[in-house]
Amino acid sequence: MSDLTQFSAARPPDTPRWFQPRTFLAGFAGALVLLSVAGAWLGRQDRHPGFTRFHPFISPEAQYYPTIAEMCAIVRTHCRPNQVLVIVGGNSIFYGVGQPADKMWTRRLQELLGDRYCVVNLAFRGASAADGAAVVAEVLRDEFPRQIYVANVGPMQGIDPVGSDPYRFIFWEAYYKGLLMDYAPRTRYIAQHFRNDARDRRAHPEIIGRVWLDRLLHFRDLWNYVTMEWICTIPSAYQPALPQVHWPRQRFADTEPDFVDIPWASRFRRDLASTELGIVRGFTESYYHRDGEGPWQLAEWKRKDVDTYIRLAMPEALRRRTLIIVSKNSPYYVDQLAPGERERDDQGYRDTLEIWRGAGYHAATYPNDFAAADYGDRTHLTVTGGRKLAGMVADDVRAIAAECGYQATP
Amino acid sequence: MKTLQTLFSYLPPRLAMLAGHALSLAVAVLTAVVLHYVLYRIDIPGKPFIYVAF
Repeated sequence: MSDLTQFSAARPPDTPRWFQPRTFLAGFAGALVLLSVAGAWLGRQDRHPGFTRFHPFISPEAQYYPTIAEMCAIVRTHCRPNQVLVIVGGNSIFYGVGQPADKMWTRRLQELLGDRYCVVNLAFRGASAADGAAVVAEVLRDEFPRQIYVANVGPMQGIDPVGSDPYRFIFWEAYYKGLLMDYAPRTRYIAQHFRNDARDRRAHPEIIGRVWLDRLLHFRDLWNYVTMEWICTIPSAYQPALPQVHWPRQRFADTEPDFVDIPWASRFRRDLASTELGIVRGFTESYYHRDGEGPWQLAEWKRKDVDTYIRLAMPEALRRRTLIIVSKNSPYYVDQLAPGERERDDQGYRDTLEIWRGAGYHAATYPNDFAAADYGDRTHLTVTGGRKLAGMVADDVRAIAAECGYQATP
Repeated sequence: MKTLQTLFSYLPPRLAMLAGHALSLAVAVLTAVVLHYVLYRIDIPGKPFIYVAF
């Protein structure tokens, strides 16, 4: 028998116990309250100094999931209340793939629009026009009433009103936290979405549960802060080895390469030419038919499909201040289409613009002066292409601002 | 736990009481932090999104 056991056997019965249940419960509850308050406070702080865009290290590609509060904080840091807020969303084209941060197209857009406007690029690679940036724009509708949302889509490309799968977490957060406008058609669509989408139907209680818990405890904001500022505890393919795996994400800069530094032959690979051409054809191929050499006709079901979804994606009041740009493919590929395919492609753009405009959006596509050199690959723009894009978007943004009566003061 | 309780009995009762509260509080805070972190981690999808341009 050890000395300690002998002592224990001899201890008086009123020795205080090491574990005090009441203290534990009070401490546990108090700590959760403190963590929740800290998370709520940290969520409102901008932890992205020098923010350019959501580059891979601070996006779901590297297991970093920004919160609504975090994205709103970025906007608040950049935009003064007397400026017209221009939120840019969409996919990798509007994100600026192939354009270094100091030459990205939205920086040029800011220069062209001047200090009366504030441009914030919240596009994600692989996102849609209804993803994160659109959600943030809607959440900030009252705080920044003078705002314009700009995003891109492909021809004949509709959008899912709840966003695309990798970025849907942003929509669910805003929706279940009650941050979005009350829009009955969208609410009905969401109910239908959970009936039709087997995976989301199974996950529905979990989605609601975790948003509810996060609303209460703010764990995403707090631990995103820790990940950004102190230590990263989530491995990702972008920093798989030690010590980088634990570096705070703030240490990783936006290092987007410049397309012009990549040889042309690597960007327009001959062995992938037929695949790329197939993608170009694919935008319209399945939806059009014609009799003989007559005009190309869009299948009515497709027209209805796109029209229905884009109307569900946004309340009408928000559509009026939304600019949709229908992105084009590089002339390097488009010029290789057969004449009939080319006509169908052109018709696809005209019909896409008509559908978006018919639903109450502003819509445009690139002018015809975009040359092959303005593209870094089939669809992404080089710095020169980005400058052209900025020029056309700036004109459209000014026109929408005037139409909406935004009187920004410098 | 038994050893810990035995160690407590070495202390004067008043000090043992204080130490018990302090230890319980520390364990409570640690539990809350771990729970908070676990909620964050289980919210993150197991498979990352892999971007493919198309």
